[in-house]
Formats: sequence, C-alpha cells, structure tokens
Amino acid sequence: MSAGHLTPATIAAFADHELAAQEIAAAQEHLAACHACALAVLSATQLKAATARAAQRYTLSPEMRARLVATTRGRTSSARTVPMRMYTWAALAALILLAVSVLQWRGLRSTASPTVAELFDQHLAVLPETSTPQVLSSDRHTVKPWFQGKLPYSFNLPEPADLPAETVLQGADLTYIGGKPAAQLLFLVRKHHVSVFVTQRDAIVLPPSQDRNGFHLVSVQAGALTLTAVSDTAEAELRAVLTVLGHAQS
Amino acid sequence: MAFATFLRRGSPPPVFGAGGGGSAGVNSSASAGSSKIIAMDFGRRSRAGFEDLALPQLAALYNHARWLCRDEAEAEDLVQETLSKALRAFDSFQPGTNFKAWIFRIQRNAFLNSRTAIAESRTVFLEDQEEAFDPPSLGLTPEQELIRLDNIALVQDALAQLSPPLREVLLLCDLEELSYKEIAGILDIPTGTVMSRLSRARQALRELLQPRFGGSR
Repeated sequence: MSAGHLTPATIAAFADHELAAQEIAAAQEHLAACHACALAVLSATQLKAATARAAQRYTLSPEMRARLVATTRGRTSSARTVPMRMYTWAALAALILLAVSVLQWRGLRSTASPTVAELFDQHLAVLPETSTPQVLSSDRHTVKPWFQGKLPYSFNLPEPADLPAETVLQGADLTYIGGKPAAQLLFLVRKHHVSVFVTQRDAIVLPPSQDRNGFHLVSVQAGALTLTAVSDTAEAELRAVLTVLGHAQS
Repeated sequence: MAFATFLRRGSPPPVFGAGGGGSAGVNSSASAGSSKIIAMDFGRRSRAGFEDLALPQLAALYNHARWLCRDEAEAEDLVQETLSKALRAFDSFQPGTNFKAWIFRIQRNAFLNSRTAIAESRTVFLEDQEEAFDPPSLGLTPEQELIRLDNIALVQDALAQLSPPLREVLLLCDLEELSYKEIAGILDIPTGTVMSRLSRARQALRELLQPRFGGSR
C-alpha cells in the first residue's frame, strides 16, 4: 500500500466510527479519489453490518423477561432457581450438613443428658407384660416401707383417693439413676403405664420437660426430692399425677 | 504482552471514573447464587432510575450472555446475577457515562466466575499481538462478499467458531456499538489491544466465510 492509502487500522476505525472529525474529513477526501480504499471501507462496513445481524441471535422470551425484571425489583422469582455455580452447590451442601449436624447435636444434646436417657430406658423396661414390679401393690403402706433400707431417703405416697381419676398405683421398682438408687413408682393412668421416678434433688439434673419418640418426661421439684414422670400419655395427666405426689411430700 | 487477558480475574481498577466503589458489586463473591437483593435502602428514585436504564439493556445483555455461556439457563442466571450486582452497585455508576458499558462490564466479571469461563480458562489463548496486521487481501469483491454475508446462518456459524476473546470483542463493537475505549474498559485491556483483537477477529471471520475453493488470503 502506498503511503497515500488508508491503513487497515484507519479503515477499521472509519467503519467503527472511531475517527475524529478532522480524520474523517481527510479519509473521505481520500476515499473519493481511491477506488481500492473505498472498496475496503465498503467491505469493512458490510462485514460489520453482517456481524451485527448474525450476532443478534438470541431473543428473550416474555417469561424470562418477566423473571429478570422481577430481579431488578429485588424479588427472587419463584419460577426459577437462583444461579448456582459449582462452589455455591458445595457451600450449600456444607451449610445443609452443618445445619443437620447442629440439629442432630442439639437433638442429641437435649436427650444427651445420660440421666434423661436412663429414665426413658427404665420406663421402657417396665412396659412389657412379662415385667412385674419388684413390689406389686397399690397400697401405699406396702410400697413405701418396701423402700426402707434401700434408699438413702424417704418419700410419701398419696391416698389412692387423692390420685387423679383413673389413676392407679400398681407397684414399684428399686432402680438406679446415674449410679444412685431411686424409686420407680408404676402407675396406670387410663391404661397407660406411667413411671414416676423419685430421686434426691441434688442427685441428678433434669430438664423440666422433654419429649422423645412419643414419650413425655415431666419433672418437678418437691422439697428435697425430684419427681419425674415418664409416659406416652398426655403431659397434662402426668402433671396432675406429679402435683398430687408433690403435695404428699409436704 | 498481555497473556490471555480475557480471563484475567480479580479486581480490576475502576475504569469508569467511579471513585472508591467503582468495582463494588463487580467482583463476584461466593454469593453468586444469591439473587436476593440485600435490603438496602434504595431510594425510590434510585431504583426507578436503575430500571429506566437497565430494562432497555435486557435483550442485549441476554443475547451477549448466550454467546458467552452457550447455554440458555446459564445465560439467564448470568443476566440475573448481573442485574442484582448492578443494582447493588448502582451508587457507583456515574451519571453521564455510558450505562451500557458499565453494566456489560459487570456482566463480564460475573461471567468470569462462572463454570463456563473457568472451564474455558484451561484453553490457551494466543497472545495479543499489538502490531498491525496485514490488510486482508481483497480476495472477494464486496459484491461477492455481500452474497455470503447475506447468509445469516453462515455468519452465525462463523461467529460461533471464533475463539471466545475474538468473538467477545467483535460483539461488543459491531453489535453493541460500544467505543474502543468503552470496550477496553469492559475487557480490562488497552485500547490498542482492542483494535488488534478486532482486526484479528474480522480477519478470522473473513477467512471462515471464504468459499472453500482454494480461497487463499
């Protein structure tokens, strides 16, 4: 190309509207006289136009547009999940894992108190028909003395008449909670077995109430004693039994 | 000199004269998936202002995203992410500058953190050559070329065959009609590199569009 011709860069810049006003004037002056350069500019312009036409290839569907507009309004569209890159998935998975473990940990921790677990287990142990209480009696004057010498403390039992309706004392077992001896009183409340554990107040620490697999645990303080009822019956009925027992201690 | 600048990541300096927060919202963080706009107190006017500027660009952003991602769902996600980031960073947009260039830059940076871009980063790109190219020899008269250029499917096919950096620069210039300077800002490369890439892109396109019968340059 002779020095007079437009450089390829100038030709491109001309087609791309990147030339300054005076450069345009100079270029146009040359183009008016030079067929080769005029062809080159025409060619560049045509290629540019064809590229633009071909590149405009993908159109936005109305639904997509609506979803995207919703984004600018600061709403996440429910119609589509948010973008997920690989590491987002990883982060999400990690988060779910963490949440699950925390929940599990909390769940475990809530019954993590080995004492609570023991009480549930002790109650489950007396449920089978084959298990008979060590002291089989609904008479408080039989049951209470039976524990003498077996427990380092004493407790009172209410009169049968004082118990809530359809609540019967069936007997009792000597059991061990947290390595310490305790009384497990066995009641029948509307055909539901209820265990009431009598422990020394400072011997074990219990939550006021706890649910596990459909069984409830309710615990109250009565003087120096802790009374804890475990059963699958309604919590209110357990509280009723415990209230009566609690009164008997004072 | 500039190796594979197409995929250079990290935080570019603010280009559009936005002091301080110029690149806020541009650098993709791990919140890529979140299109929840953090409850910031956008003034009503500000959000309305954003929509006035952004909505006319939706179609262009999506079309460009499709060329970048080559996948419909991913492109939509990219545009969604772009809008969220742009809205959050709207304070850093300088009125009077080209909003289109600003939001395209945000989209490109969001794209660089996407799976597709990361996968492509394994591809080695040619070094950008700053020197001028030989002028394409006019193997075809413009009239002949016109016949081929008229075949949109053929041109689309040729565009699809270009390397991503060349296609990207060509789209920004020819379709989006952004200036060299604005493209340089979006791609984080010098203006000279924009020009040389454009030149290479067009040369490659011409070659792809040459008729098969021994069309030497």
